[in-house]
Amino acid sequence: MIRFVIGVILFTLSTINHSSLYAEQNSNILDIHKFVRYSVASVILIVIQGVLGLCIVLIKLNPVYHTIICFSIILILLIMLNLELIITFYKNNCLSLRREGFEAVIYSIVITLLLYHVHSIMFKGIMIIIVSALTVIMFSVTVFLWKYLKDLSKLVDTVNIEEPMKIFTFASMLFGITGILSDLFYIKTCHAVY
Amino acid sequence: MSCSVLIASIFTVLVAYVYVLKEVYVKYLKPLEGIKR
Repeated sequence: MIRFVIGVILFTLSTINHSSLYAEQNSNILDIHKFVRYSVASVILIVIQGVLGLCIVLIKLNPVYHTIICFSIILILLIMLNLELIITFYKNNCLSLRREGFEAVIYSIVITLLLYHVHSIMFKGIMIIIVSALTVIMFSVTVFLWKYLKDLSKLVDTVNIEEPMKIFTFASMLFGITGILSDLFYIKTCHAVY
Repeated sequence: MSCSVLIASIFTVLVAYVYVLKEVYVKYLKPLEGIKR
């Protein structure tokens, strides 16, 4: 149940952020440092989640740590990032609900429905390989960003992260849907077992 | 089911990272290369 609640909160917050990002605003509001710090933390947590998943197979660890605790911490971290963003928008008076936010909700639902059909074709082994490969790429990219983080603060012309932030908020919407779906399907499988 | 959505979300985050990298490269690394030469 906890993942469902956290997922719903994350989905709502990121939808508001996604629509607010389309408002006409000064791009200097967004800070790349915050983005990189949170992303480093989330990538490390995703790596830990992967290691815990391996531990289930290797040393028969309780799956609760992998599926519920670590995943919930990742979602909470994303909620914190989105909350900070919302507060920044609120302070700068550019918090708004727009057409683009509504469109993003529709896109995410379409992607989820599409994946619902793709899921039946794919094997679990292939999925684990894809997730691990993506995590490794993400980890290397984040380390690369972390390397240049100090120098980025000295730049006169700040790095504009408006476009990537839009994509990132969309990704957090999908993370929220993952949380919602994982709890819904868990309940379904529990009913199937009993 | 949730696993496939997780793959999609991680992939989307990766796309966002690539965008940031592109911005960093254009604003910071490319001028640095010019100075080194």
